[in-house]
Amino acid sequence: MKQIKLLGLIMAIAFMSATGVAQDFSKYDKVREMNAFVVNKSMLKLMSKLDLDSEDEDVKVYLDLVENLDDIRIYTTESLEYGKQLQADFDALKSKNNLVELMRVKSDGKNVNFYIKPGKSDDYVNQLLMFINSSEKNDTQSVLMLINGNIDLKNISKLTSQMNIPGGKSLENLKNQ
Amino acid sequence: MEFNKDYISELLNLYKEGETSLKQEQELKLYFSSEDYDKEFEAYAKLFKFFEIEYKTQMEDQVKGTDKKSSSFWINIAASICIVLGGLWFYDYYQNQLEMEEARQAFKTTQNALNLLSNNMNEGLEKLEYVDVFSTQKNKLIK
Amino acid sequence: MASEIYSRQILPLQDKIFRFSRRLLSSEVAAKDATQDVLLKLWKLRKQLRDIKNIEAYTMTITKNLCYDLLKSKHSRTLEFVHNNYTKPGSCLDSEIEARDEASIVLKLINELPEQQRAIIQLRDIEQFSNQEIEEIMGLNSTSVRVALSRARKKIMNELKKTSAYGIQ
Repeated sequence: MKQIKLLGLIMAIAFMSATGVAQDFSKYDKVREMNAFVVNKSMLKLMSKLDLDSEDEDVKVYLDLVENLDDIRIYTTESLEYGKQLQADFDALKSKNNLVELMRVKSDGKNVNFYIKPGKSDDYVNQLLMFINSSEKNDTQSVLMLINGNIDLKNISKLTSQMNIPGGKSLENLKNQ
Repeated sequence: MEFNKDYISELLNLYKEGETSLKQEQELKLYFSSEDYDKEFEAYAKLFKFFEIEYKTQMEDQVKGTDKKSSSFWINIAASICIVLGGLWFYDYYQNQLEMEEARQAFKTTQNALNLLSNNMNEGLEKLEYVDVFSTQKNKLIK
Repeated sequence: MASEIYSRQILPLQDKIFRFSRRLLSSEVAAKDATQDVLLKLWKLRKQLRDIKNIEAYTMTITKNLCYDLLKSKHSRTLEFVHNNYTKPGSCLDSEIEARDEASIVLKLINELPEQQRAIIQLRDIEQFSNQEIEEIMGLNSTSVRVALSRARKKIMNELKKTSAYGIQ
């Protein structure tokens, strides 16, 4: 009996931590100032089935990435107040899920934060959290992005990268630090 | 002849009383249909022959039914089923198309999202690159 | 479907209806008209046909009623034509003529019977309906049917015997 209870408890915790992310964001469903884009696994699967121009090399990279993702959540706002909320969410998420800081960039008046949960190998992460806000007074935009899955960071970089090897090298450097 | 005279006599008596069965009447008709009957029964023969003739008469100018057979009933059913199935298939196809369209839109947005991620990441990496080069240079100088 | 039932079950009865009407009305012309009337009536009733157990008997009942009505109204003016337009499939002329002559006598005798006996003779000896069906069609009990049938048959037989006895063919 005791073992069953224990098992039940563990499962509940596991369940909760898995859905912990979901619980955070349904509060924004009714908020007009908050823009949300959420894609779940079934939609991602559909996407990989699309008959796109697979001649186009670029599209192939996207598809490869998408295939390995579990879900994508993006929340953006122009509102200062909600921007602060997103910041709070970001802080909560990174500590709750024990995410590791990947990098922090501050330039052109923007703060960009990357936090990850390490994955099966050096290039892969299981969870990626990105938060962007502005350090300037008149720019009130904030962006929170959370991706779950088998994420290949190299591929992400490749999407918009003009330089290939150097970028890769930097990534390695990042990892080794 | 199959029937003997006595048997026929008996039948005829019953017949006159209105007590013969249809089967027995059929036997009498059969008996009198050929010319082998006993001539004593001549009168009866006329009667039964008459009945045979009457039975066969047909009316001229009969009303014809439509040649449409009951298969049209089943054809209608089959057609209805086909229409329903066709409708379902189209519905399914249409739904699929809608889903695909949704997926297409979602994919576009996903691409944008990933690009955003990528850009920012690369921006950071560039900076690192710069720092790396800088430090390398710096080290060169210091050495 | 109602029109299916009608097509499949009523239309094949045309000959029977015709013969029965002809027996009752003693006229081929009148019988044709009566047949059309019966068919029309049944067409109008086709939706109820599904619920009827014995459609043949039902049809004959309608025919009987129609003919009786006609007889009642035309009582004084009943046509006594007897057209010998028998359509017998496949028989040669000689035997047909002979049969016709013999038949004429029987026909005459039958026509001399009262309507009810004529009807029952037709239904039983020619159309071969069962006792029960005849009771249903004529609206009589079994005794009445048997008695009427017996009387009719005896009458005809006796007359025929007389005719043979006198050597008239």
